[in-house]
Amino acid sequence: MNFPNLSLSRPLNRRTFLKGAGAMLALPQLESMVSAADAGAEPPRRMIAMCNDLGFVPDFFFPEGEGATYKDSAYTEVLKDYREQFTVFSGLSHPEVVGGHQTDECFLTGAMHPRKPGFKNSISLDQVAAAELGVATRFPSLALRIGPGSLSLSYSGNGVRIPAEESPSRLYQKLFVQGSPEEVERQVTRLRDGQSLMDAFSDRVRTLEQKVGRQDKDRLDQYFTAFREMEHRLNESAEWETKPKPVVDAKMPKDERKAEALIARTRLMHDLAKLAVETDSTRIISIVTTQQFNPKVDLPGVELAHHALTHQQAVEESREQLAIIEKAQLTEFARLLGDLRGSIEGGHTLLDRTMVLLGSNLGNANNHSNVNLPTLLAGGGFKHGQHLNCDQNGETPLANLYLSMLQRLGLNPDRFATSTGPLKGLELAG
Amino acid sequence: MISRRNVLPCRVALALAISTHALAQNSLPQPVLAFLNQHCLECHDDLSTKGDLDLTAVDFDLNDPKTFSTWATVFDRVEAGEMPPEKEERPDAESMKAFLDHLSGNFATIELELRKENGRAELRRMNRSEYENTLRDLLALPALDIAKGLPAEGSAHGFDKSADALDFSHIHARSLMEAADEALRLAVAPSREKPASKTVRVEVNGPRKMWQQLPGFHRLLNLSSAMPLTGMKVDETVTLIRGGFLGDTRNSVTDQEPLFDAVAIFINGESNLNMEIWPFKIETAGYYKIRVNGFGVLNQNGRLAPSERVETVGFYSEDRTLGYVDLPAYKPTTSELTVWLEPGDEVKPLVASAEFGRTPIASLVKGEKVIQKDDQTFRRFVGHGVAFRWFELEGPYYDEWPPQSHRRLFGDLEVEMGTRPSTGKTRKSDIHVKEVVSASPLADARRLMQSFVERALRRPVTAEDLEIPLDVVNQKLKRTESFMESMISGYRAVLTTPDFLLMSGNPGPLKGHALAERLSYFLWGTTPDASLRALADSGQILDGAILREQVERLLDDDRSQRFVEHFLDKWLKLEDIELTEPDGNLYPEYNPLLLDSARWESRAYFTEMLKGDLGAAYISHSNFAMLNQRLAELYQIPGVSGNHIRRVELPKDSVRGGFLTQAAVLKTTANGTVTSPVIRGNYVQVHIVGDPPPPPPPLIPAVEPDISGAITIRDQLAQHSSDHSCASCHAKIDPPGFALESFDVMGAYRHRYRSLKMGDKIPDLFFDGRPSKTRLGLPVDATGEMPDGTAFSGIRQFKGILLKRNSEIARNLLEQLITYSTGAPVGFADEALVDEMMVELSASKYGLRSMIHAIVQSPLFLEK
Repeated sequence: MNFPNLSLSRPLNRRTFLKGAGAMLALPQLESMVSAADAGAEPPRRMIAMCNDLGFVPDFFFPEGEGATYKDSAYTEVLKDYREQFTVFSGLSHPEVVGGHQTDECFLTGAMHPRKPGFKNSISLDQVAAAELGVATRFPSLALRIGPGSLSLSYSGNGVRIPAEESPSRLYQKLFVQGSPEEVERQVTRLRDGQSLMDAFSDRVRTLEQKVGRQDKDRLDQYFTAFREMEHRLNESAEWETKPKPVVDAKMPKDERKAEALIARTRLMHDLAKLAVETDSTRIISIVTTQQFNPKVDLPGVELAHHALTHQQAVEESREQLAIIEKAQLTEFARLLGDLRGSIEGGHTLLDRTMVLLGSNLGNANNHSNVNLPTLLAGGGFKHGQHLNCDQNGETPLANLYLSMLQRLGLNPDRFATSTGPLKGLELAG
Repeated sequence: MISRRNVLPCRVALALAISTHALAQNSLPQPVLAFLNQHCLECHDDLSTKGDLDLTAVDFDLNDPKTFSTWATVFDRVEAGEMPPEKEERPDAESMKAFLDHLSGNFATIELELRKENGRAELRRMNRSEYENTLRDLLALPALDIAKGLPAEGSAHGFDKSADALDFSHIHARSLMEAADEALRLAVAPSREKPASKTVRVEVNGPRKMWQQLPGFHRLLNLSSAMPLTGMKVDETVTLIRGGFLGDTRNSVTDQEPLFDAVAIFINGESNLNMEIWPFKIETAGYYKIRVNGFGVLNQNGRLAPSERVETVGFYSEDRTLGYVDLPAYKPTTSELTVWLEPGDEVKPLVASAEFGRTPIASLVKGEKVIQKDDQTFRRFVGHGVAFRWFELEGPYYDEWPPQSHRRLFGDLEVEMGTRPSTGKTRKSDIHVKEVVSASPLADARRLMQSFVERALRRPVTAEDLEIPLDVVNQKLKRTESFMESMISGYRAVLTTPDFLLMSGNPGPLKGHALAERLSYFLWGTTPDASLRALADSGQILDGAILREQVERLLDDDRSQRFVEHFLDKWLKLEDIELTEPDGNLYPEYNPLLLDSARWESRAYFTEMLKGDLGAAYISHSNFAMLNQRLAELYQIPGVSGNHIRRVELPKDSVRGGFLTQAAVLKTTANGTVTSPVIRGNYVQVHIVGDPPPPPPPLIPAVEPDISGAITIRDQLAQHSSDHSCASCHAKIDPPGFALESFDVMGAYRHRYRSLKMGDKIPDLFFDGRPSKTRLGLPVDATGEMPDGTAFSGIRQFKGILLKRNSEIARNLLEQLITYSTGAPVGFADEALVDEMMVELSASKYGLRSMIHAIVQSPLFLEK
């Protein structure tokens, strides 16, 4: 029941829909919406944004030399088959986003001062994109998590965390398992009922608001906005429910519950992310990998717990063990790139049409530093094959890269979070 | 010293920042300025900005949350004596008091001002476990399982009981609708007639039956890791054939008459076997009885060796544990378990008390060859197991028909089954429908909805409350939709209205219903029952004596276990116990039953504290423990057999007693392979003593245990702490962790660390049937010294030192309970009240039950 994210505001005018709400079950409108998006010959653009909450060892991550002639680092070496398909960045940070691990919630939002009281998060990169592009797909976006807990990279317009899906089997069900006709009807009924309740609830909330103080009004607003945002997509949801889900060869995965199985969990989630974009179930995905709970990772040669290892990178043996884990993570990343590159759509590889961002909120997990964040962008139609050193001091806003990514998706915002402009040196592919 | 750093709810402050209140002046008041000049500005000015703090740049506009937070931090550090640092001149007591009083007075004033408008606690929604409990009780569905499907909750002030932790996004909205729908449909009677109860019996009787009915057992026999028995002796006439890796076929196990009548297995995990009892198919949801007949055995290389141990059988469905039953050794016994099962559930038995998680596999035999007796796996290991003779499943049982859950929604109206064609686009097959038959739908709808809403809303019902759901129902009925579906839509609307999801209460004293609600969600985690409701209706609940009676009643009821579980999950972080699993190579003795037992122990212990009004000293000290056989084995306490938890008096010199040395706490504070005094020390400071150390400074690498066993964590820490800047903090953090070094990651007592690389072999220790590689390495040093110089020789002396901090520990527990029960942490404005409570509570030595009474009777609880 933990629904993958269904986005908030959308470009389509809801009111035009509401007029026809009585006949919603037979709504043909969606077709026209989709065909508008699909009318062009070009396949759609997509984005997968990933954060690794224990960072990467900087010495192994950042390459020597700049531009196209950079010398591989230990980690870019793992990706050497894709060298022309990614750019590795150095010198990027989120300005005023400091506070060790607590900055994970700002990775895609760039919201400043996460440790201060009164901190309120802001909309995340994926949600900005989903608001524009999400209308064309069954799921406007997916927020996913590899690992336990409640962490998510995705935040709605009013800074409310959008719960991330952790279970591959549940995700698979949402994406690909067709409910029985009975279930489909029930779902449609629920959605339709939800809509008819909106006005009633809105009156109730207003009545309640008259009795409470200002802070509680905020809470009531949040409650109401949640239902309102759900309503915003009731029409599309109801329509999608009655459409057949895509059929895939992949079988329903079994959830990997063993704490040590970081790599198996990663692979399961990557496989589903690739299937989700390939079937155009969604075009926008966020994935956070969280290992803060400090399990040992079941790789040969790794003996200490993962989080612990990050804190003793100064010790040669520990650094080597950590490198085993991080290389395995990058190998999975490479595998994802390979799978995307192997899938052809309208004369393009899926990788050419999908930006895959890999980064971390930690510049150096050893001391919880939040500057010079290890960042890598693959695919998606940029001129890659370079090491782009943005700033010797490591202080170019990461949001500049995000702005470039939004522009690549065809959005045209003036800025995103702390951005000062599109990232210099990153050019579109011809 | 209690940290107040984040006590001011941020939204409060934000709201006020734009308001017109201007309590504090923006320029620094004189007493503050004087103190700063003399003691602080040398380091914390615009030139040095030590610790990133420039006090010359901070004004005194406490309405600004950032400014408030800065001053709160300053207050904390100075009050704790951490600032100014040791090497600087100490402020005299008088000027320090003046400084702190001035600050806290200002903080309190701000808080009180804010509370006038908003109340002490913010409006919050139910959390997911409260939602589940509420639906369970409202719909009479005790086994309802919906919380797991709702988004995980955040945490604020350590709990998921306040607004800051309980975000509300559109995903929540949608998930709640789905969960409500699922619950409502489960509540409707599954059929018109009461489903007949029947008994299915599965006997162990020769290989053919096993192949058909217990394929997992057959596979284990074929792997030669299960032991066939006839008349309680090893059946030597069983022949095993292995044909390739997966050579389990219908002929791979054969037996001569008399056929074996029991099979002993020795594993607590299913791995890739299917242990399902095949004929046990669940068609209707309801209560079932699972019976098992068998006896415990000790297998010593194929011989049955004497055993006094009671073995525990676990029954599972997928990843859900259905329950446990005991079987004594060598005495065929029938044990029974009553469980709620739903269609699709499976029944899988395993030996929970067995040592091995996976079955050892003997060397592979290629082709269709008979496995020679000497090669049979069960003749090559030592381990406990259970010989199973038969299983029975009887059910479903219903206390009444239609079930109470159905009556809550539809009274006496009956269910009718049928089909109708699908209107969906994707499939054309007919849809099975259930309908509730009503002769006068409109009247029935009004009557049923009235009674449902009265039960659901935790306050008197108005006409408006009925209007919303009845509109939904009537609209649907008008479109001639099914009566049942229309009603479910209406009920679902009730279960997602703000009135249902949000906790009530306006600033100022709580009215009767809001008070009943707060009390019920505190001690039962659910909606008030009929008695509480009646007392709220009459207003009697506002009477202190009656309120006291109710607290007693609620605590004595089993539903208070929900409070015990949820509170411990958060306060002691026991919800994290499963995040890591001990490395099987290092800790082959660890099994899932130990994990469950550890949780039961801590909960039973807290329950015992509640029952006996035991004082805060019992947090670290006790002459008894709550144990079962599994825990007693781990703690090496003789004379405890069987799986149920019972009170056991501890030997005089025992290291056990109190939470600190319980397996659950020791496991939660360790990771799978090693323990760290820093982690455990920090845990004790934060969760037990309530005195969190400052966060680690940036740019300093942490110290982690070395797994090779070549150097102990103590020696590493000693090197780390030789740096003066590290030493001052670690002197405070580490000592409790040093004392707890005597306990490994499972909670067993140890004299030496375990290692896979070096040290002495441990004889007779097996890991999944193979000799364990674990060795005993360097000795443990559990001695230490407190920051004040008091030395301790180990855990027992350390516990003695904790006794001296009893009032601090008590106060921490009190504050945790206040946060949990009211949804807001103790603020500056609450200090005086909490001080008073502490004085009163000292008479009961800070008894747990007395604490709960004191909280419930205090304005903190009685006002929003």
